[in-house]
Amino acid sequence: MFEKIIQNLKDRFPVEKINFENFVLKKEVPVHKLSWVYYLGGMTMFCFLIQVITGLLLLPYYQSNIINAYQSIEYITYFVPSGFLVRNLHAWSSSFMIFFAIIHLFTVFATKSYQKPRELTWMTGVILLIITLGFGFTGYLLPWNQLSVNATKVGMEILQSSTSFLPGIFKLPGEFFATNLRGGASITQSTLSRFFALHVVILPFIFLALIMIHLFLVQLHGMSKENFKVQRYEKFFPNFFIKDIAIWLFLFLVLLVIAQTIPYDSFLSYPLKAQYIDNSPTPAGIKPEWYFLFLYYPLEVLPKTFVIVGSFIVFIAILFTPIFFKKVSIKFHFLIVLFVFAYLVISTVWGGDIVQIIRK
Amino acid sequence: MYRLLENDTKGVTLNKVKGLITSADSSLALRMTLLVIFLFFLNVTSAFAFNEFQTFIEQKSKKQLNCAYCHSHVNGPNGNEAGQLGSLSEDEKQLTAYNQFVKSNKELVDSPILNEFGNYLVKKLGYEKITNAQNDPSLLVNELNDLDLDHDGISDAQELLDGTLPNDPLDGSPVKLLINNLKKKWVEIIFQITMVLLLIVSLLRFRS
Repeated sequence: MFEKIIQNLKDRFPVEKINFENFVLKKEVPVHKLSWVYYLGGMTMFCFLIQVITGLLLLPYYQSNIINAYQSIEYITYFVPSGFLVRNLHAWSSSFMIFFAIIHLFTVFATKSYQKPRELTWMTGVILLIITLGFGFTGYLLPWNQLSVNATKVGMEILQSSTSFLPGIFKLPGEFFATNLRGGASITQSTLSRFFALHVVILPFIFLALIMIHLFLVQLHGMSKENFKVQRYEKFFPNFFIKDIAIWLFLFLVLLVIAQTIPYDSFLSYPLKAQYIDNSPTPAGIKPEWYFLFLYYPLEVLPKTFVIVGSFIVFIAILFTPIFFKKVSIKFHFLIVLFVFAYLVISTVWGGDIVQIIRK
Repeated sequence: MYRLLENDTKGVTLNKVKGLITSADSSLALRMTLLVIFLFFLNVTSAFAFNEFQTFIEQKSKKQLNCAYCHSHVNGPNGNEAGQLGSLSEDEKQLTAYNQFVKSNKELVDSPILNEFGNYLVKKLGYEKITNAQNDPSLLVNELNDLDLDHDGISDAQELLDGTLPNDPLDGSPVKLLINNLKKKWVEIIFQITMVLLLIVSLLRFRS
């Protein structure tokens, strides 16, 4: 028994591989028809780097108090030199980051690359995706406009009621987390301060720690090749690394062009972008960012308890995929990905129309 | 900062009105003053809201809008909050009433209950045309056809039809903004594409 545990640990953490020769000189990447999937993690990380740099540039100008937050965003957008570009890059790259993280998760799942010894790499990746969504949720409130405050109210209500159907003390966590995140019973200055702290300090620190573990594990175990027909191998340094940088440059170019030409907020109607004022009428069209719509629309039409319990089960299934899907065939993995991807696209793009049809 | 700017604008426009009334034509000034006083006694201040325009834009754009499209306050001119009639000083009340009685567009002044686009609309078309357009709001679209207040490349008429703000260069149909910004910034964008592609090509040459 003890030997088995030791062997499992050795398989997951082959410390003898930690040397310059293995990590740099001899490191190789398999080449096959689906080699492009190896670049998705790097693209997600590159978007995170853009987030950090643009976030740091925005930090001196943003004011995290409810009186000046909106004005400081307006000031950045209209008066700070290149302020609009930096803010727009920050907004667009956040969406790109979440998009690539989701696609990365799908490809790893579909190719069953999470198998032994990469279980921990998968789990850290799933937690990184959750933190990335946390970045989106906390960042959404910071402009303190009608949409951000009202959408956060809705989000907090969902969190508060997430455990209310449970008996006894089990119903308390939802209320506890919602109250502590808000810093009270409603969205106030306390909420903005807490979300700001989470967005710029707490979540980035956790993210950095986890991404270092994630990258270390990727380096340790190398790229997954078990389920591919490998044609040949190429050197990581310099070949794969140069291609990685080239793709990052191209991604930056795409982001730069988009950030210069399409204001991220132009997808919203102007009443949603107006400054939030207490007791002012709530404009129509309050909804979360696109990457939460797959969860938001079902909450609109289905019983909350059903959606919340369902989401929790799905989350546990995703986190412990290496255990639950160990014996499931790769073809079935591919079918699951197709089904989930179709659901995400339909619920995100046409979810609002479907909700309206159901309500009629 | 914005509040200060707003106050400054009001100060300037108030002085402008006072200047108009006192210096230019004393008989006109006298008539104007009498009319304004008459107006106060009739309490016609609620006649400034044009719900027909909002309904028209909402129908065309299929978006739900609010009074902040033309007005300073999200709920329109009637009320006691900042940017509404009830909060105005006596001078500012005269200012809001003044535009209704001048015949020349050149003499029109900024009203504190209107936003940049509202005031722009009044100055461009004149109070009379706007009042007439109440019955047929599509006249506004014809009148604004070639104008572009925010210089975002989308005409004010089109912005009305799209339900986007004509006084905000960052508010507009994303596709139209993309096309116009590409037209506007094509030199920079071509330069950026060339530089990045050159960098990528030179990088790829270092592969072993």
